[in-house]
Amino acid sequence: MAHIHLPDGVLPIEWVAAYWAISAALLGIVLLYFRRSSSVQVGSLALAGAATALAFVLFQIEVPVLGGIHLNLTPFLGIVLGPAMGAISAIIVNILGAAVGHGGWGPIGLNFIINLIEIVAAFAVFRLVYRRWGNPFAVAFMATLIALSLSNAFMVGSLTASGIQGVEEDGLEVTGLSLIAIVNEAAAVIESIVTGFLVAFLAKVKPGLIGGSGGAAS
Amino acid sequence: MPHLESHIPDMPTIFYFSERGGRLSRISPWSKLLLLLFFVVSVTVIQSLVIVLLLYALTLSLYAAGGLPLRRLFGWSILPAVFVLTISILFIFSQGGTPVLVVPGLFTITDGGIFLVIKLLLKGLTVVNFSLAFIMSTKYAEISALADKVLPRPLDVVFLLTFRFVFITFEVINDLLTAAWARGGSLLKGVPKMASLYAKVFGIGVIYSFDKAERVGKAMEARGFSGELRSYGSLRPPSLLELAAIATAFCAVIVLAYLVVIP
Repeated sequence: MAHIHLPDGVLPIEWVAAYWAISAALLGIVLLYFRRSSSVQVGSLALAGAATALAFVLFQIEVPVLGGIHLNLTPFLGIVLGPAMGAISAIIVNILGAAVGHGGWGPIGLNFIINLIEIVAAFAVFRLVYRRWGNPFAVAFMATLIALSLSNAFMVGSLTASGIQGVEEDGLEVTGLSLIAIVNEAAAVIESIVTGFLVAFLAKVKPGLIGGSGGAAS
Repeated sequence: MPHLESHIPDMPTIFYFSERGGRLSRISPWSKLLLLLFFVVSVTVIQSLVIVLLLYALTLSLYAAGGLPLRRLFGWSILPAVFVLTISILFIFSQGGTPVLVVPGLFTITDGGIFLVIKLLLKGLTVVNFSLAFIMSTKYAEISALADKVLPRPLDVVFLLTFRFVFITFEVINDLLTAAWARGGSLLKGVPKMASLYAKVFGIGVIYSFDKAERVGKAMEARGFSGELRSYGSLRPPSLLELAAIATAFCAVIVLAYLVVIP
């Protein structure tokens, strides 16, 4: 997987509370945006529902590459839905994921922030570069790889800051987490290739979905 | 043949058990939600391996008491266990404690390292057990009603739509994968070809889902959707006995976590 969904019992309680508070604040900003915005159409809500369901189902497929990997597709959600609706989608994927044991309930705060980084970064890079380059595969590949690399770095940083419950030596946490980050980065390259092909395919058959990447639902 | 992974719980199976009913279905969804919070808080604050083991046994017993499939649960526990092991396995060599296995010049495994990994595994799986017991014993209408009551707008609307779309999407993707494999997908070699095949399957899935979303959106508009998607499922309030049991459990956790030292 391109990043790990942290299970319950790994983070100390004060950090669980802190990440929940930060993610609640970020989600609050998004919800406030929707309350004040008159541009939220019913079609975009349905689109977000469909995209979220799709991301949740596609995660369950093992792509038989490098011994088998699962894709998160959060950068793809960012490219298609935009950052605001993408954030809504990410929190729901996290809730559904926690319900089936893919990530914990306590670490939803941190997992959501990690997903949000992927969504915002993928959206921003794709939006900035796609109009100039016009090559959907290359731009989606680059946007996804940058997004996943950033979230990977954030995951290592946040776990290093919070520590893992019961671990005695701090220095070794960094070493261990850096090794995990390297493995995740390899999976990120595969996810970037699949997302590149996926966006290129959609650009051919349904260009309206990613045209200009204004976020189809935002 | 590719398929939706058997080590990840699939929604149709969950739906089957939740609609079938059982002993856990008689408990109020609100109580189960509070119990979920109890287990999440417990595994986060409690450090005693003995108590964590007891909590794991308790959730396993609750799951079994609900008549839910134990063998599947163990299969579904693989991925959460991999998540925990990925994070914690390296610390098996670095934790303090009595050496259990020493390979001179290479590594030393201590009992402290082994206990740490076991404790983190049990903590993660305790919540997984109860999460699955919760959703597999709570009817679709009850979960919809719970989401409607708990989540803010428009999160609740997107959640309810997602919850509805998941089942359809699941069938579509499963059919697409079967068709791709039947047409020689298994013969493809190399990362680019395999990635391209899967991207096309996902792409068709995206187009199908978004077409469906467009139709649903138009239907909702035609029916006068005003930003509110109500769920008409009913939610039984928790009984006094359930509330008393949950309150006692929370008090016990505070005592066990902060006032009593148990190894």
